[in-house]
Amino acid sequence: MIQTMIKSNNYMDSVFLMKTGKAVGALDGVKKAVAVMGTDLNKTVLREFGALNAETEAAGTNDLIVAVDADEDVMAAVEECLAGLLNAKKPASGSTAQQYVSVEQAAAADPELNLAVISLPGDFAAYEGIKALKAGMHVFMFSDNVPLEDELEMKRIGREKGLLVMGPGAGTAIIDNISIGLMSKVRRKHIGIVAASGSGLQEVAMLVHNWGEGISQAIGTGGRDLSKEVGGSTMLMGMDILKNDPDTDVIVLISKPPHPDTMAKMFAAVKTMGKPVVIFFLGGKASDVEASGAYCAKTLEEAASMAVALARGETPEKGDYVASVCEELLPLAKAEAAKLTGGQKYLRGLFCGGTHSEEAVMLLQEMISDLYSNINFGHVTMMENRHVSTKNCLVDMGDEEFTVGKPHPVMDPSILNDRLVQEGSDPDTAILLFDLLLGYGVHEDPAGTIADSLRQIREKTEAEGRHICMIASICGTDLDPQDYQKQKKTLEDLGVIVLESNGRAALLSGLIAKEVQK
Amino acid sequence: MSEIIGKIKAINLGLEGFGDGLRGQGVSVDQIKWKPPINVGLLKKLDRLDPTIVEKIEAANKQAIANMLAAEPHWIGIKKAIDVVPGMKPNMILHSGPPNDWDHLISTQKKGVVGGALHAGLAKTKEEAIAMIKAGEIELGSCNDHFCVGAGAGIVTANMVVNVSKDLRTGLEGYCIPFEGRVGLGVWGVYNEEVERNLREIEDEFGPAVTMALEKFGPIDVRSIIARSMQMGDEIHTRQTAAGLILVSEIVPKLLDTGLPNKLINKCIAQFTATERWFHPLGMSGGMSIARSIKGIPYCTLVTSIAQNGVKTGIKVSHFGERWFTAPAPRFVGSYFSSEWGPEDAVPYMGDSTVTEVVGMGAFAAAAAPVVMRLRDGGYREAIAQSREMQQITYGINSNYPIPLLDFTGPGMGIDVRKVIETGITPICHGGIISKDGGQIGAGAARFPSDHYMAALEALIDDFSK
Repeated sequence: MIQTMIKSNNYMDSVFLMKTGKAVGALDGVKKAVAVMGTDLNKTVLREFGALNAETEAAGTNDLIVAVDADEDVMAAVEECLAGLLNAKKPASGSTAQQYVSVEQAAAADPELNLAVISLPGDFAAYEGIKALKAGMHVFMFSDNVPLEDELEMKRIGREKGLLVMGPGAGTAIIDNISIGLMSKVRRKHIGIVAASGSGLQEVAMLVHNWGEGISQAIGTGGRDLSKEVGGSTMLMGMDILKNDPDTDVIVLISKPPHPDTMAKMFAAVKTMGKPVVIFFLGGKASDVEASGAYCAKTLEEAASMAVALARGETPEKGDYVASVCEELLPLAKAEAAKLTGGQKYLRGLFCGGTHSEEAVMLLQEMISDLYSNINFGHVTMMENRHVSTKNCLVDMGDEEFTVGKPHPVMDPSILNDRLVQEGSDPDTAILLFDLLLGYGVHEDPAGTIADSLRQIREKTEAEGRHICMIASICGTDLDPQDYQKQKKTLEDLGVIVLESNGRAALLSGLIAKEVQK
Repeated sequence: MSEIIGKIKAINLGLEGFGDGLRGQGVSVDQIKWKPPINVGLLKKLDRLDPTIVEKIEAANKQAIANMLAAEPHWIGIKKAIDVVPGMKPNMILHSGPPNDWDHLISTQKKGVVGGALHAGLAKTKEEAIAMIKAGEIELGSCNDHFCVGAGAGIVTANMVVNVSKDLRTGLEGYCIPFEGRVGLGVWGVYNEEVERNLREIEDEFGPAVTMALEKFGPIDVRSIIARSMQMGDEIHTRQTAAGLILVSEIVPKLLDTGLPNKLINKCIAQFTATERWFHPLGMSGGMSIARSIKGIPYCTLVTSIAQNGVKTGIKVSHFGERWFTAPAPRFVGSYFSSEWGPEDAVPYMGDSTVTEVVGMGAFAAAAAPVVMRLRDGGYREAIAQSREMQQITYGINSNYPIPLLDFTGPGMGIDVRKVIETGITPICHGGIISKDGGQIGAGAARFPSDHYMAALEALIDDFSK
């Protein structure tokens, strides 16, 4: 039966809530559990759970709600479990370390503070961001769903005070050799990046590092920066910083095609840079870019490759980068395709990184037909039900429909587990493609998180006498806290083919699919 | 290498993983203990106030803090309410908290008002009293609207006496009835023959004797007693043990020198020593005289009153003078004197003793009185933490009261409605827990709601933007 408990005026952050949901769910006699603050959004979660009653309906944003589907007599145990978690949060007795409760308080106590990292709910993020900017701090804002007028206001203040406003919706950055957000650690050298895409920035930076070069500065702008309204405010400020940075020799710009007005401003700026510029406009037209004098990359990997060449004083290779990678991958694709004797045909991709899914769509739409996705991008058919794949299907697992009340898969790929098993169990699935991301702020063992599911798929398909191609990319470096080689080995031991970039993994998958769908 | 920021020093708001990631690279990160602001829409309006208005607010609030710091409340006597309380009328009975009509008074105050009518000789019987109240022949009023502090039920009639504390700098006075003891009319709304006899003694003998002593040998400096007692474990709302002892040492010599009969002087001394909380009304009336010095300052956003009637809590904000903003009265967390009592026996907060918090004492000065924190199973750490928390919502610090556990800085003083909404921290106030049947059954503290602070801020912004 569904039972609920409310702790009023007991605000806890989402990490605590998730920990609580997990711990309560693990109690004897509890089938499932959820812990949320009583926001309107979370009440929809409670409704689905069947736990919306007069009491929980009346709860407010500072009220902690625990709902369980459990035996009748468990509430005492739930209460005890919750008390344990709540009390664990208190600092050790005798601790006199002061914890600030507001931006103003922190800024007043410590005028040296110079960066605010904000991942609060969108309704509140900008309000705090503006306070941080007024106190002279640069802002890195992970939060989504920030009202446009708030972004405009933050960026106006940022320009006035010469402070960077990275985001809203920024996932990654490297400032002065410090990785910010969910970001890999890379060596410091002379390639600078400004990117409107978190996973795009990380992908290029990690490839640059893995190929022996390094990053001077990498500035995230947030996805909406290049809209008509925002006008590339952070992009242009970032370009200006890199232009004047004596340690930046090559500049890489990454985004979806900007609004034409914004694009015009960017191209005007490109012409004044006095340094080589590589541009990756996801799904954009090469002719536009090249007219500005910049190098046009067709994949994130190509952008990294061009930047590395330029940083070494070489000229990037001309020719079709995608075609040459495909040629390189073809023998492996044919060998894999040959193992697929079970009549399976389809490619299923599950993506943690948002730009990774878009890049995969962009590459695969040229290679295979019947392509479905939950992202509205390129020439795909939108999935009817995001929870059930159709034919060739690329699913962005960071979709809000999947992440309500759960961490984003970049932070913790746990939410891939059920879906991996679902796709792997589908007798139509020939190729299972996915990406993992490493770095600071990310789960300590992403590969370990999904290893059981991969093992289960492997055992099930073997028992049923068929092969399944599992292909992955790992976006990370040897400097990351997760141990790149160990992550790779975990996957390879389970028969996963691990490639060095998302683009490459998508292309290999496409080649195999093409073979079996002939 | 050239740098954008240099040595990064960060704050993190939200997911702790982001802070951990930076810390993993050796960056200093403060995790902000954030909770959702109670009203973002209102905060945005506040942010958009014209800078010239913000300047006026700052100037007004600075002036208010300066006034409070300069105030010098002195106890000048115990006098008939009708003679000293502004606006008091012979047929008027005051109660604590925001104004309330007869039908909505809680039973403790109803009993007290009826008892008051009998004590004042306005009616002969309870029935007659009720009929007169309903007919409007007996007028009800809010203590706070008359600069009187209604302790508990806050019953004050024209013939009752009040302690008068006067700010010698401004001449403004605050009033509060003297302590009647464990049972009484003013605080507990209890009226019977014994209470009547006691009241008569206070009004006819004790009051005049004290007034004579104070007038003859000079008033007693309330601020100086509080400053000393705060270094001796008092916070002046729930605990005034030290203040009471200092008071005895100051008033007794004066009484002895009056030349009054020894028997009367002994009776007076017994009043002071019978309860260690005798000083409480002086802290409250003194607090009121201080609060009056910041009333009606244009653009001032500081709270000048907090008062409860067991149904509602109300605040007044300087800019708006005597206008009330109300919300439901909060309930207490605390300890009960006996295991037979619990929260279900108590009424919501009743009484105006929260004037102590308005001027930076009581819960705001918790660090001065760790003993009081025992009521909520706390110790000196909780005491310090509570004082620090309350400093987040005050505009100033009361440097008149240096507290050892605050490194000899003072408690926060001058609750700024802007800060309450900005921080989402509402005031905590100490206080006595009062039974539904009248009488104190415990003590503790209550966390106040935010609704009326939001309403006040909204009204301020609207008024400023005109």
